[in-house]
Amino acid sequence: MKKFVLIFSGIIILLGIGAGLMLKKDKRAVSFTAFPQAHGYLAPYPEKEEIEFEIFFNSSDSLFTEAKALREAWIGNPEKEELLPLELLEIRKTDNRFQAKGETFRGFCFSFLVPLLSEEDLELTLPEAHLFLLYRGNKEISLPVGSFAFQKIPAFGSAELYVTRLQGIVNEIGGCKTLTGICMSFRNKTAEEIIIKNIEIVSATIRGEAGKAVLLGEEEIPSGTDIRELLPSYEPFVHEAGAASIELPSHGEIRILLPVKYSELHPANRLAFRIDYLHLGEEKNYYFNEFTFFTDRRHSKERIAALLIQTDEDY
Amino acid sequence: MKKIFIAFAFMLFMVCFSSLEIRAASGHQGFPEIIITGNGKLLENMTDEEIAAGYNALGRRKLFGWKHYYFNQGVDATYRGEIIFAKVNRTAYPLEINYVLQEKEYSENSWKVKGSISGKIQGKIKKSDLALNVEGEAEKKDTESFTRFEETKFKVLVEPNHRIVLQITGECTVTNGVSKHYIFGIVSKKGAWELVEVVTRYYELRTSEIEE
Repeated sequence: MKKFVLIFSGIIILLGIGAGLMLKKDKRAVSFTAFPQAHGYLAPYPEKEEIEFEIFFNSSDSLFTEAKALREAWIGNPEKEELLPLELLEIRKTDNRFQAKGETFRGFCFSFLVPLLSEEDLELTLPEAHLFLLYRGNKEISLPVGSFAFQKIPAFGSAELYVTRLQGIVNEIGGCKTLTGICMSFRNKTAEEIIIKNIEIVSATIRGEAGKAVLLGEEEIPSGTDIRELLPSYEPFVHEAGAASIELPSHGEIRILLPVKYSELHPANRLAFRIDYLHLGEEKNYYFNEFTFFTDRRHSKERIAALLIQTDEDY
Repeated sequence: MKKIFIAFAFMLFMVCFSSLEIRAASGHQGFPEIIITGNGKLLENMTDEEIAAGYNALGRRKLFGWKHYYFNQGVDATYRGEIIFAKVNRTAYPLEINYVLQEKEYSENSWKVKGSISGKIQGKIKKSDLALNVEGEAEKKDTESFTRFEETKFKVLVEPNHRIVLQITGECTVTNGVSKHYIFGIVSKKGAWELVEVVTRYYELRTSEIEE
């Protein structure tokens, strides 16, 4: 009987220590952040779009990176007046890391589905977007992720027009590499003339300046070329609205440089766009899906220092 | 006689194998062309005299361990990479391509070695030696690097009878030098080596009509 009491007491003590350790783990302060970027997505009416955000944590095993602990997620404006619900697909550890405030932050890729289906055009534009993550125990974090734009569209492609060449011009603005121009070639598939009236970038903070687009030849232009060598008057934050009128002759092909302008410096390496054109007097659109123009491994200390790092003391 | 023949065949195989390993003009697989933007030379373009001058610059021998001389330390360069994706649509309908490039599939770094040092020189050269030098360079540029292994995805429509090609160009840094390894003051291994580290990748999409 005495033995049984001893064993039972031992088990109770061990369970107590285990619970204490678990609680201690949960009570740790965890810091997290994300590089603000210009996020832009296009999705056909009947399709669920997959979107991703990379969040950096100073701990590799906190509850914030546990898929099972995440109850709900939304992307929206900071006031939560406009919210788009998201469905978690997975949380995957990446190999990305950086040092800030004497700590190592490691990347976790949060992949979501936007479950929104529609039968008409829909658009959400958030110049200041926050990712809201609600964990078990009603613990919620709100993470600024830059800007966000999402559009439901009828379909990609066009029966009349075709993008035959696509390349980014990438320069540093404010210490970070971002797109300053897009070199794009179009081919007219028809026997009639096509007039391109506008090229709209899918973004809340980035605009294409089709009215200032310049015609290019077939020469090779390295993507790292300073855009001012091609467009001496380029100013990243000055956007001049103006209609374009780029003529594409019957079965012809042209190459242009589209200046990319910013209202807020959220860098972008991936963009989708819409081309508005006239064919036989009819206004038409051509949607081009997100294209990754570049990836970069170098981040300036300036950009890392400017990161908003939040710490949750209660978790 | 048989032993000599086997040894000779093995040596011949090793020579063929090592020459097959690096075929690109730059000497680095996956990088057909590398151009150093400032001062500096790729190992491929150095003369035997220049490499010999590097060995001489190593100075007095050491009792044990490695000694390195750097020709270039993290100098900026540009590169033209291989075509990473090509697809032909020979059907009569537009074809939707859903492409995912795992960055791990494409080289982040490329080592090239010459001489009696092993192909695994990167592990044998003291990490601290290289890290110190490369970090010093990074400090000068006021930048901080970290590895990005993100996925690159794109969905694109390929028109009937068209070919679509995705090519990578970009920016990289080049570090090269010569090293000697000593045991009791005797050179046990020596060789020249070069490390190319990718910094930026630019993706270019091109389509062209194919002959029917």
